[in-house]
Amino acid sequence: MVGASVTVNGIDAMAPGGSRRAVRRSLLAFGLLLWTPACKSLPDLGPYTEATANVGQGVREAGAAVDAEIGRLATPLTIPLDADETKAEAERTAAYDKARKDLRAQWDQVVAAVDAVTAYSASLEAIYSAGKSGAKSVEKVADAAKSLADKLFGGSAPILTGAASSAVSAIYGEIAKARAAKKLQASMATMGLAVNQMATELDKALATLEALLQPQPLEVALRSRVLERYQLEYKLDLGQRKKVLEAREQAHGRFVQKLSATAPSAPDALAAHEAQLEALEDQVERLDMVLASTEPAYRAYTQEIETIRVRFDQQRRAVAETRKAVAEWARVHAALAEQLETKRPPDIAVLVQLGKQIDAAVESYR
Amino acid sequence: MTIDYDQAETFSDWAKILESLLDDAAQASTAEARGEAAEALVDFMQRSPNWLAKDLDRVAARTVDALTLTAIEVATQKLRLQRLELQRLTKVFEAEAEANQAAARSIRLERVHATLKSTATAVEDLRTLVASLQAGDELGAVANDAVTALTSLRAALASAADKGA
Repeated sequence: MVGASVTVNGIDAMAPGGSRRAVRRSLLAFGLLLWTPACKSLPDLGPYTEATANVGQGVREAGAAVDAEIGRLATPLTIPLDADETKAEAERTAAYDKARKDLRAQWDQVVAAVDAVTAYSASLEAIYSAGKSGAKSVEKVADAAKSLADKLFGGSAPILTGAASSAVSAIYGEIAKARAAKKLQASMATMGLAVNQMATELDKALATLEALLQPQPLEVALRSRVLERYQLEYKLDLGQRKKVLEAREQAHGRFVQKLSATAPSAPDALAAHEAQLEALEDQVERLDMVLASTEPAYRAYTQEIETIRVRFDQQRRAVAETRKAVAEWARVHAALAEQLETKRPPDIAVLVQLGKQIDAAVESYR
Repeated sequence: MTIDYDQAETFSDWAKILESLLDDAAQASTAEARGEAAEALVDFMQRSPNWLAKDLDRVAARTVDALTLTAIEVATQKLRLQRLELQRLTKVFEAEAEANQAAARSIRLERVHATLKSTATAVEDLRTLVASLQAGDELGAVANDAVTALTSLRAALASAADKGA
Protein backbone atom coordinates (compact mmCIF):
# COMPACT_ATOMS: atom_id res chain seq x y z
CA MET A 1 0.00 0.00 0.00
CA VAL A 2 2.71 2.42 0.95
CA GLY A 3 4.69 1.60 -2.16
CA ALA A 4 1.71 2.35 -4.33
CA SER A 5 1.08 5.64 -2.58
CA VAL A 6 4.71 6.60 -3.16
CA THR A 7 4.18 6.11 -6.85
CA VAL A 8 1.19 8.38 -6.81
CA ASN A 9 3.05 10.97 -4.88
CA GLY A 10 5.87 10.57 -7.30
CA ILE A 11 3.41 11.40 -10.04
CA ASP A 12 2.14 14.38 -8.05
CA ALA A 13 5.57 15.77 -7.84
CA MET A 14 7.24 14.70 -11.03
CA ALA A 15 4.65 14.48 -13.82
CA PRO A 16 6.26 16.68 -16.49
CA GLY A 17 3.05 17.90 -18.06
CA GLY A 18 2.61 14.91 -20.42
CA SER A 19 -0.64 13.08 -20.96
CA ARG A 20 -3.24 14.49 -18.56
CA ARG A 21 -5.60 11.65 -19.31
CA ALA A 22 -2.95 9.19 -18.22
CA VAL A 23 -2.59 11.09 -14.98
CA ARG A 24 -6.33 10.89 -14.44
CA ARG A 25 -6.36 7.16 -15.19
CA SER A 26 -3.52 6.61 -12.78
CA LEU A 27 -5.23 8.54 -10.03
CA LEU A 28 -8.52 6.69 -10.43
CA ALA A 29 -6.82 3.32 -10.72
CA PHE A 30 -4.77 4.08 -7.64
CA GLY A 31 -7.79 5.11 -5.65
CA LEU A 32 -9.92 2.15 -6.64
CA LEU A 33 -7.05 -0.32 -6.33
CA LEU A 34 -6.57 0.57 -2.69
CA TRP A 35 -10.27 0.85 -1.95
CA THR A 36 -10.96 -2.45 -0.28
CA PRO A 37 -14.45 -3.92 -0.27
CA ALA A 38 -14.21 -4.24 3.52
CA CYS A 39 -13.85 -0.50 3.88
CA LYS A 40 -15.40 0.67 7.13
CA SER A 41 -15.81 3.91 8.93
CA LEU A 42 -13.57 4.23 11.97
CA PRO A 43 -15.23 3.29 15.25
CA ASP A 44 -15.38 5.59 18.26
CA LEU A 45 -12.48 4.52 20.48
CA GLY A 46 -13.47 6.96 23.24
CA PRO A 47 -15.23 4.48 25.55
CA TYR A 48 -12.35 2.01 25.22
CA THR A 49 -9.72 4.66 25.92
CA GLU A 50 -11.72 5.80 28.94
CA ALA A 51 -12.15 2.24 30.23
CA THR A 52 -8.40 1.62 29.85
CA ALA A 53 -7.59 4.83 31.71
CA ASN A 54 -9.95 3.81 34.54
CA VAL A 55 -8.28 0.41 34.82
CA GLY A 56 -4.79 1.93 34.78
CA GLN A 57 -5.59 4.53 37.40
CA GLY A 58 -7.51 2.08 39.59
CA VAL A 59 -4.80 -0.58 39.56
CA ARG A 60 -2.07 1.93 40.37
CA GLU A 61 -4.10 3.50 43.17
CA ALA A 62 -5.05 0.14 44.68
CA GLY A 63 -1.38 -0.85 44.88
CA ALA A 64 -0.41 2.54 46.26
CA ALA A 65 -3.18 2.38 48.89
CA VAL A 66 -2.12 -1.01 50.25
CA ASP A 67 1.53 0.00 50.10
CA ALA A 68 0.77 3.15 52.11
CA GLU A 69 -1.21 1.24 54.74
CA ILE A 70 1.62 -1.26 55.26
CA GLY A 71 3.95 1.74 55.37
CA ARG A 72 1.85 3.19 58.22
CA LEU A 73 2.17 -0.11 60.08
CA ALA A 74 5.92 -0.12 59.46
CA THR A 75 6.37 3.38 60.88
CA PRO A 76 8.17 3.10 64.23
CA LEU A 77 6.83 4.81 67.31
CA THR A 78 8.58 8.02 68.23
CA ILE A 79 7.89 7.87 71.95
CA PRO A 80 10.52 6.85 74.52
CA LEU A 81 10.50 3.06 74.98
CA ASP A 82 12.32 0.73 77.31
CA ALA A 83 14.96 -1.68 75.98
CA ASP A 84 12.57 -4.59 75.37
CA GLU A 85 10.01 -2.39 73.71
CA THR A 86 12.68 -0.78 71.54
CA LYS A 87 13.89 -4.20 70.38
CA ALA A 88 10.36 -5.41 69.71
CA GLU A 89 9.63 -2.19 67.83
CA ALA A 90 12.70 -2.60 65.60
CA GLU A 91 11.74 -6.20 64.82
CA ARG A 92 8.17 -5.39 63.91
CA THR A 93 9.24 -2.43 61.74
CA ALA A 94 11.73 -4.64 59.88
CA ALA A 95 9.11 -7.36 59.39
CA TYR A 96 6.57 -4.91 57.93
CA ASP A 97 9.24 -3.31 55.73
CA LYS A 98 10.14 -6.70 54.28
CA ALA A 99 6.50 -7.67 53.76
CA ARG A 100 5.88 -4.34 52.05
CA LYS A 101 8.90 -4.76 49.79
CA ASP A 102 7.93 -8.32 48.82
CA LEU A 103 4.33 -7.35 48.04
CA ARG A 104 5.44 -4.30 46.07
CA ALA A 105 7.81 -6.44 43.97
CA GLN A 106 4.91 -8.68 42.96
CA TRP A 107 2.52 -5.77 42.39
CA ASP A 108 5.09 -4.13 40.10
CA GLN A 109 4.37 -6.93 37.62
CA VAL A 110 0.67 -6.09 37.73
CA VAL A 111 1.51 -2.44 37.08
CA ALA A 112 3.77 -3.48 34.19
CA ALA A 113 0.87 -5.44 32.74
CA VAL A 114 -1.39 -2.40 33.05
CA ASP A 115 1.32 -0.26 31.40
CA ALA A 116 1.29 -2.70 28.47
CA VAL A 117 -2.52 -2.47 28.33
CA THR A 118 -2.20 1.33 28.25
CA ALA A 119 0.42 1.14 25.48
CA TYR A 120 -1.89 -1.12 23.48
CA SER A 121 -4.75 1.34 23.92
CA ALA A 122 -2.46 4.20 22.85
CA SER A 123 -1.43 2.23 19.77
CA LEU A 124 -5.06 1.76 18.77
CA GLU A 125 -5.50 5.52 19.23
CA ALA A 126 -2.43 6.10 17.03
CA ILE A 127 -3.93 4.00 14.24
CA TYR A 128 -7.24 5.80 14.66
CA SER A 129 -5.55 9.22 14.48
CA ALA A 130 -3.44 8.21 11.48
CA GLY A 131 -6.61 7.06 9.74
CA LYS A 132 -8.40 10.29 10.53
CA SER A 133 -5.54 12.51 9.38
CA GLY A 134 -4.71 10.66 6.13
CA ALA A 135 -5.27 13.75 3.99
CA LYS A 136 -2.83 15.75 6.12
CA SER A 137 -0.23 12.98 5.85
CA VAL A 138 -0.39 12.98 2.08
CA GLU A 139 -0.15 16.79 2.05
CA LYS A 140 3.04 16.56 4.10
CA VAL A 141 4.44 14.00 1.68
CA ALA A 142 3.41 16.18 -1.26
CA ASP A 143 5.19 19.15 0.31
CA ALA A 144 8.34 17.07 0.79
CA ALA A 145 8.09 15.78 -2.77
CA LYS A 146 7.70 19.32 -4.06
CA SER A 147 10.73 20.42 -2.08
CA LEU A 148 12.80 17.61 -3.58
CA ALA A 149 11.51 18.31 -7.09
CA ASP A 150 12.33 22.00 -6.71
CA LYS A 151 15.88 21.11 -5.78
CA LEU A 152 16.27 18.72 -8.71
CA PHE A 153 14.36 20.61 -11.38
CA GLY A 154 14.54 24.14 -10.11
CA GLY A 155 11.49 26.34 -10.61
CA SER A 156 10.26 24.15 -13.47
CA ALA A 157 9.18 21.32 -11.15
CA PRO A 158 6.01 19.84 -12.61
CA ILE A 159 3.55 19.17 -9.79
CA LEU A 160 -0.15 18.74 -9.29
CA THR A 161 -1.62 21.80 -7.70
CA GLY A 162 -4.96 23.11 -6.46
CA ALA A 163 -7.97 20.86 -6.97
CA ALA A 164 -5.89 17.96 -8.28
CA SER A 165 -3.75 17.97 -5.19
CA SER A 166 -6.86 18.21 -3.01
CA ALA A 167 -8.41 15.25 -4.78
CA VAL A 168 -5.35 13.10 -4.20
CA SER A 169 -5.37 14.14 -0.53
CA ALA A 170 -9.03 13.23 -0.29
CA ILE A 171 -8.41 9.85 -1.88
CA TYR A 172 -5.62 9.07 0.49
CA GLY A 173 -7.76 10.34 3.35
CA GLU A 174 -10.29 7.63 2.57
CA ILE A 175 -7.59 5.06 1.97
CA ALA A 176 -6.01 5.92 5.31
CA LYS A 177 -9.37 5.42 7.03
CA ALA A 178 -9.80 2.05 5.34
CA ARG A 179 -6.27 0.99 6.25
CA ALA A 180 -6.79 2.13 9.83
CA ALA A 181 -10.12 0.32 10.13
CA LYS A 182 -8.59 -2.85 8.69
CA LYS A 183 -5.63 -2.70 11.05
CA LEU A 184 -7.86 -1.93 14.05
CA GLN A 185 -10.06 -4.87 13.16
CA ALA A 186 -7.08 -7.22 12.80
CA SER A 187 -5.46 -6.04 16.02
CA MET A 188 -8.61 -6.19 18.15
CA ALA A 189 -9.56 -9.59 16.73
CA THR A 190 -6.07 -10.92 17.46
CA MET A 191 -6.10 -9.52 20.98
CA GLY A 192 -9.59 -10.68 21.97
CA LEU A 193 -8.40 -13.73 23.87
CA ALA A 194 -5.46 -11.91 25.47
CA VAL A 195 -7.77 -9.12 26.64
CA ASN A 196 -10.05 -11.62 28.36
CA GLN A 197 -7.08 -13.38 29.94
CA MET A 198 -5.63 -10.08 31.08
CA ALA A 199 -9.00 -9.05 32.56
CA THR A 200 -9.10 -12.32 34.51
CA GLU A 201 -5.57 -11.85 35.84
CA LEU A 202 -6.12 -8.21 36.78
CA ASP A 203 -9.35 -9.08 38.55
CA LYS A 204 -7.56 -11.83 40.50
CA ALA A 205 -4.78 -9.45 41.49
CA LEU A 206 -7.27 -6.79 42.57
CA ALA A 207 -9.25 -9.37 44.57
CA THR A 208 -6.03 -10.21 46.41
CA LEU A 209 -5.53 -6.57 47.38
CA GLU A 210 -9.21 -6.16 48.18
CA ALA A 211 -8.89 -8.99 50.70
CA LEU A 212 -6.10 -7.06 52.45
CA LEU A 213 -8.30 -3.96 52.61
CA GLN A 214 -11.20 -5.72 54.32
CA PRO A 215 -11.67 -4.80 58.00
CA GLN A 216 -9.14 -7.56 58.66
CA PRO A 217 -6.17 -7.68 58.45
CA LEU A 218 -4.73 -4.22 57.71
CA GLU A 219 -7.49 -2.08 59.20
CA VAL A 220 -7.61 -4.03 62.45
CA ALA A 221 -3.81 -3.97 62.66
CA LEU A 222 -3.86 -0.18 62.34
CA ARG A 223 -6.55 0.09 65.02
CA SER A 224 -4.38 -2.10 67.22
CA ARG A 225 -1.42 0.13 66.47
CA VAL A 226 -3.25 3.35 67.38
CA LEU A 227 -4.50 1.81 70.61
CA GLU A 228 -1.03 0.54 71.47
CA ARG A 229 0.45 3.99 70.94
CA TYR A 230 -2.13 5.63 73.23
CA GLN A 231 -1.47 3.00 75.88
CA LEU A 232 2.30 3.27 75.67
CA GLU A 233 2.03 7.04 75.95
CA TYR A 234 -0.27 6.59 78.96
CA LYS A 235 -2.73 8.89 77.25
CA LEU A 236 -5.67 6.58 77.47
CA ASP A 237 -6.68 3.46 79.40
CA LEU A 238 -9.76 2.25 77.59
CA GLY A 239 -10.28 -0.67 79.97
CA GLN A 240 -10.15 1.61 82.99
CA ARG A 241 -12.35 4.18 81.30
CA LYS A 242 -14.91 1.46 80.62
CA LYS A 243 -14.92 0.48 84.28
CA VAL A 244 -15.37 4.12 85.35
CA LEU A 245 -18.23 4.48 82.92
CA GLU A 246 -19.91 1.39 84.33
CA ALA A 247 -19.41 2.60 87.91
CA ARG A 248 -20.84 5.99 86.98
CA GLU A 249 -23.89 4.38 85.40
CA GLN A 250 -24.45 2.23 88.48
CA ALA A 251 -24.08 5.17 90.88
CA HIS A 252 -26.39 7.30 88.78
CA GLY A 253 -28.92 4.47 88.61
CA ARG A 254 -28.90 4.10 92.37
CA PHE A 255 -29.23 7.85 92.83
CA VAL A 256 -32.28 8.01 90.52
CA GLN A 257 -33.79 5.00 92.23
CA LYS A 258 -33.37 6.54 95.66
CA LEU A 259 -34.59 9.93 94.51
CA SER A 260 -37.79 8.49 93.07
CA ALA A 261 -38.47 6.37 96.14
CA THR A 262 -40.81 7.75 98.77
CA ALA A 263 -38.79 9.65 101.32
CA PRO A 264 -39.07 8.32 104.89
CA SER A 265 -41.13 10.44 107.27
CA ALA A 266 -39.11 9.84 110.41
CA PRO A 267 -36.53 12.66 110.83
CA ASP A 268 -33.56 10.30 111.39
CA ALA A 269 -34.43 8.09 108.44
CA LEU A 270 -34.98 11.15 106.26
CA ALA A 271 -31.56 12.54 107.18
CA ALA A 272 -29.93 9.20 106.34
CA HIS A 273 -31.85 9.09 103.06
CA GLU A 274 -30.65 12.58 102.10
CA ALA A 275 -27.07 11.76 103.11
CA GLN A 276 -27.12 8.69 100.87
CA LEU A 277 -28.50 10.76 97.99
CA GLU A 278 -25.78 13.34 98.50
CA ALA A 279 -23.08 10.66 98.63
CA LEU A 280 -24.33 9.11 95.41
CA GLU A 281 -24.47 12.54 93.78
CA ASP A 282 -20.88 13.20 94.85
CA GLN A 283 -19.81 9.83 93.49
CA VAL A 284 -21.41 10.54 90.12
CA GLU A 285 -19.74 13.96 90.06
CA ARG A 286 -16.31 12.49 90.88
CA LEU A 287 -16.70 9.85 88.20
CA ASP A 288 -17.85 12.52 85.75
CA MET A 289 -14.66 14.44 86.54
CA VAL A 290 -12.54 11.36 85.89
CA LEU A 291 -14.31 10.78 82.61
CA ALA A 292 -13.96 14.45 81.67
CA SER A 293 -10.21 14.28 82.30
CA THR A 294 -9.87 11.42 79.80
CA GLU A 295 -12.35 12.91 77.32
CA PRO A 296 -9.86 14.84 75.09
CA ALA A 297 -7.64 11.74 74.68
CA TYR A 298 -10.67 9.53 74.14
CA ARG A 299 -12.06 11.92 71.53
CA ALA A 300 -8.69 12.08 69.71
CA TYR A 301 -8.45 8.29 69.78
CA THR A 302 -11.96 7.71 68.42
CA GLN A 303 -11.29 10.36 65.76
CA GLU A 304 -8.17 8.48 64.61
CA ILE A 305 -10.06 5.20 64.52
CA GLU A 306 -12.88 6.85 62.55
CA THR A 307 -10.37 8.32 60.08
CA ILE A 308 -8.94 4.84 59.49
CA ARG A 309 -12.41 3.36 59.04
CA VAL A 310 -13.47 6.02 56.53
CA ARG A 311 -10.20 5.69 54.59
CA PHE A 312 -10.53 1.92 54.33
CA ASP A 313 -14.19 2.26 53.28
CA GLN A 314 -13.10 4.56 50.46
CA GLN A 315 -10.28 2.23 49.42
CA ARG A 316 -12.55 -0.81 49.40
CA ARG A 317 -15.04 1.07 47.24
CA ALA A 318 -12.26 2.19 44.87
CA VAL A 319 -10.95 -1.36 44.41
CA ALA A 320 -14.48 -2.68 43.86
CA GLU A 321 -15.00 0.02 41.23
CA THR A 322 -11.70 -0.87 39.57
CA ARG A 323 -12.74 -4.52 39.37
CA LYS A 324 -15.91 -3.37 37.62
CA ALA A 325 -13.78 -1.17 35.33
CA VAL A 326 -11.67 -4.19 34.37
CA ALA A 327 -14.79 -6.12 33.36
CA GLU A 328 -16.07 -3.06 31.47
CA TRP A 329 -12.71 -2.68 29.70
CA ALA A 330 -12.88 -6.25 28.37
CA ARG A 331 -16.54 -5.81 27.41
CA VAL A 332 -15.91 -2.57 25.49
CA HIS A 333 -12.96 -4.18 23.69
CA ALA A 334 -15.15 -7.10 22.61
CA ALA A 335 -17.93 -4.76 21.49
CA LEU A 336 -15.51 -2.67 19.43
CA ALA A 337 -13.97 -5.76 17.86
CA GLU A 338 -17.43 -6.97 16.95
CA GLN A 339 -18.32 -3.60 15.47
CA LEU A 340 -15.19 -3.68 13.33
CA GLU A 341 -15.85 -7.27 12.34
CA THR A 342 -19.27 -6.36 10.97
CA LYS A 343 -18.80 -6.05 7.24
CA ARG A 344 -20.13 -2.86 5.77
CA PRO A 345 -20.38 -2.02 2.05
CA PRO A 346 -18.02 0.69 0.85
CA ASP A 347 -19.44 4.15 0.90
CA ILE A 348 -20.19 4.49 -2.82
CA ALA A 349 -21.28 8.11 -2.44
CA VAL A 350 -17.80 9.03 -1.24
CA LEU A 351 -16.24 7.21 -4.19
CA VAL A 352 -18.50 8.95 -6.67
CA GLN A 353 -17.72 12.29 -5.12
CA LEU A 354 -14.02 11.58 -5.28
CA GLY A 355 -14.31 10.58 -8.94
CA LYS A 356 -15.93 13.94 -9.64
CA GLN A 357 -13.19 15.74 -7.76
CA ILE A 358 -10.56 13.93 -9.77
CA ASP A 359 -12.35 14.78 -13.01
CA ALA A 360 -12.43 18.42 -12.03
CA ALA A 361 -8.81 18.31 -10.98
CA VAL A 362 -7.67 16.77 -14.23
CA GLU A 363 -9.79 19.20 -16.23
CA SER A 364 -8.09 22.07 -14.48
CA TYR A 365 -4.76 20.55 -15.43
CA ARG A 366 -5.47 20.78 -19.17
CA MET B 1 -15.58 -18.33 71.70
CA THR B 2 -17.63 -16.25 74.13
CA ILE B 3 -15.51 -14.49 76.71
CA ASP B 4 -16.96 -13.17 79.94
CA TYR B 5 -14.86 -10.06 80.42
CA ASP B 6 -17.01 -8.91 83.36
CA GLN B 7 -15.55 -11.67 85.53
CA ALA B 8 -11.94 -10.66 84.85
CA GLU B 9 -10.47 -8.85 87.83
CA THR B 10 -6.91 -9.95 88.44
CA PHE B 11 -3.84 -10.15 86.20
CA SER B 12 -4.26 -13.92 86.21
CA ASP B 13 -7.86 -13.61 84.95
CA TRP B 14 -6.75 -11.45 82.06
CA ALA B 15 -3.79 -13.71 81.31
CA LYS B 16 -6.11 -16.72 81.04
CA ILE B 17 -8.32 -14.86 78.59
CA LEU B 18 -5.32 -13.86 76.49
CA GLU B 19 -4.03 -17.42 76.51
CA SER B 20 -7.25 -18.69 75.01
CA LEU B 21 -7.17 -15.94 72.38
CA LEU B 22 -3.59 -16.84 71.47
CA ASP B 23 -4.65 -20.46 71.05
CA ASP B 24 -7.35 -19.35 68.64
CA ALA B 25 -4.83 -17.24 66.73
CA ALA B 26 -2.38 -20.13 66.48
CA GLN B 27 -5.05 -22.40 65.07
CA ALA B 28 -6.38 -19.86 62.56
CA SER B 29 -5.61 -21.32 59.14
CA THR B 30 -7.93 -19.24 56.94
CA ALA B 31 -8.06 -15.53 56.24
CA GLU B 32 -11.43 -15.31 57.96
CA ALA B 33 -10.19 -17.12 61.08
CA ARG B 34 -7.07 -14.95 61.22
CA GLY B 35 -9.26 -11.85 60.90
CA GLU B 36 -11.55 -12.95 63.71
CA ALA B 37 -8.58 -13.78 65.92
CA ALA B 38 -7.07 -10.34 65.30
CA GLU B 39 -10.40 -8.60 66.06
CA ALA B 40 -10.69 -10.55 69.32
CA LEU B 41 -7.18 -9.54 70.34
CA VAL B 42 -7.89 -5.84 69.70
CA ASP B 43 -11.09 -6.23 71.70
CA PHE B 44 -8.98 -7.66 74.51
CA MET B 45 -6.63 -4.66 74.34
CA GLN B 46 -9.58 -2.28 74.53
CA ARG B 47 -11.17 -4.02 77.53
CA SER B 48 -8.16 -4.89 79.64
CA PRO B 49 -7.12 -2.17 82.11
CA ASN B 50 -3.84 -0.75 80.99
CA TRP B 51 -2.45 -0.29 84.48
CA LEU B 52 -2.95 -3.99 85.15
CA ALA B 53 -2.48 -5.75 81.83
CA LYS B 54 -0.07 -3.50 79.91
CA ASP B 55 2.34 -6.37 79.18
CA LEU B 56 -0.52 -8.63 78.10
CA ASP B 57 -1.66 -5.95 75.69
CA ARG B 58 1.83 -5.87 74.15
CA VAL B 59 1.64 -9.62 73.56
CA ALA B 60 -1.80 -9.17 72.00
CA ALA B 61 -0.52 -6.38 69.75
CA ARG B 62 2.45 -8.45 68.55
CA THR B 63 0.09 -11.34 67.79
CA VAL B 64 -2.10 -9.03 65.72
CA ASP B 65 1.07 -8.03 63.84
CA ALA B 66 1.95 -11.70 63.25
CA LEU B 67 -1.53 -12.41 61.88
CA THR B 68 -1.34 -9.35 59.64
CA LEU B 69 2.10 -10.25 58.32
CA THR B 70 0.82 -13.75 57.53
CA ALA B 71 -2.07 -12.25 55.56
CA ILE B 72 0.32 -10.00 53.61
CA GLU B 73 2.58 -13.00 52.89
CA VAL B 74 -0.40 -15.00 51.63
CA ALA B 75 -1.36 -12.12 49.32
CA THR B 76 2.22 -11.84 48.08
CA GLN B 77 2.28 -15.56 47.37
CA LYS B 78 -0.98 -15.33 45.41
CA LEU B 79 0.45 -12.54 43.26
CA ARG B 80 3.67 -14.51 42.81
CA LEU B 81 1.65 -17.37 41.34
CA GLN B 82 0.20 -14.95 38.77
CA ARG B 83 3.59 -13.58 37.77
CA LEU B 84 4.39 -15.87 34.83
CA GLU B 85 0.99 -15.43 33.24
CA LEU B 86 1.12 -11.66 33.74
CA GLN B 87 4.60 -11.53 32.19
CA ARG B 88 3.40 -13.52 29.16
CA LEU B 89 0.37 -11.27 28.69
CA THR B 90 2.50 -8.15 29.15
CA LYS B 91 4.72 -9.26 26.28
CA VAL B 92 1.69 -10.01 24.09
CA PHE B 93 0.27 -6.52 24.70
CA GLU B 94 3.64 -4.82 24.22
CA ALA B 95 4.29 -6.62 20.94
CA GLU B 96 0.86 -5.75 19.61
CA ALA B 97 1.26 -2.13 20.69
CA GLU B 98 4.58 -1.95 18.85
CA ALA B 99 3.11 -3.50 15.69
CA ASN B 100 0.17 -1.09 15.85
CA GLN B 101 2.46 1.92 16.24
CA ALA B 102 4.41 0.76 13.18
CA ALA B 103 1.14 0.43 11.26
CA ALA B 104 0.13 3.93 12.36
CA ARG B 105 3.47 5.31 11.15
CA SER B 106 2.93 3.56 7.84
CA ILE B 107 -0.57 5.01 7.46
CA ARG B 108 0.89 8.43 8.23
CA LEU B 109 3.38 7.81 5.35
CA GLU B 110 6.21 8.66 7.74
CA ARG B 111 8.83 6.63 5.89
CA VAL B 112 7.93 8.16 2.53
CA HIS B 113 8.04 11.61 4.08
CA ALA B 114 11.36 10.95 5.79
CA THR B 115 12.92 9.53 2.61
CA LEU B 116 11.85 12.51 0.54
CA LYS B 117 13.11 14.93 3.15
CA SER B 118 16.48 13.23 3.54
CA THR B 119 16.92 13.00 -0.22
CA ALA B 120 16.20 16.71 -0.56
CA THR B 121 18.72 17.44 2.16
CA ALA B 122 21.31 15.24 0.44
CA VAL B 123 20.80 17.07 -2.84
CA GLU B 124 21.18 20.42 -1.09
CA ASP B 125 24.36 19.27 0.64
CA LEU B 126 25.78 18.03 -2.63
CA ARG B 127 25.09 21.35 -4.33
CA THR B 128 26.84 23.17 -1.50
CA LEU B 129 29.84 20.86 -1.75
CA VAL B 130 30.17 21.28 -5.53
CA ALA B 131 29.95 25.04 -5.20
CA SER B 132 32.68 25.11 -2.58
CA LEU B 133 35.16 23.01 -4.53
CA GLN B 134 37.97 24.77 -6.36
CA ALA B 135 38.95 23.70 -9.89
CA GLY B 136 41.69 21.08 -9.77
CA ASP B 137 40.88 20.24 -6.17
CA GLU B 138 41.56 16.63 -5.42
CA LEU B 139 37.96 16.30 -4.37
CA GLY B 140 36.94 17.35 -7.84
CA ALA B 141 36.69 13.76 -9.02
CA VAL B 142 34.44 12.91 -6.11
CA ALA B 143 32.27 15.88 -6.89
CA ASN B 144 32.06 14.92 -10.51
CA ASP B 145 30.95 11.44 -9.54
CA ALA B 146 28.38 12.93 -7.23
CA VAL B 147 27.08 15.25 -9.91
CA THR B 148 26.89 12.31 -12.30
CA ALA B 149 24.89 10.40 -9.67
CA LEU B 150 22.64 13.40 -9.21
CA THR B 151 22.09 13.62 -12.97
CA SER B 152 21.26 9.93 -13.08
CA LEU B 153 18.82 10.37 -10.20
CA ARG B 154 17.15 13.23 -11.98
CA ALA B 155 16.95 11.19 -15.22
CA ALA B 156 15.50 8.23 -13.33
CA LEU B 157 12.87 10.40 -11.65
CA ALA B 158 11.97 12.09 -14.93
CA SER B 159 11.71 8.69 -16.62
CA ALA B 160 9.49 7.38 -13.85
CA ALA B 161 7.31 10.44 -14.15
CA ASP B 162 7.06 10.00 -17.94
CA LYS B 163 6.03 6.39 -17.52
CA GLY B 164 3.44 7.35 -14.94
CA ALA B 165 2.07 10.01 -17.23
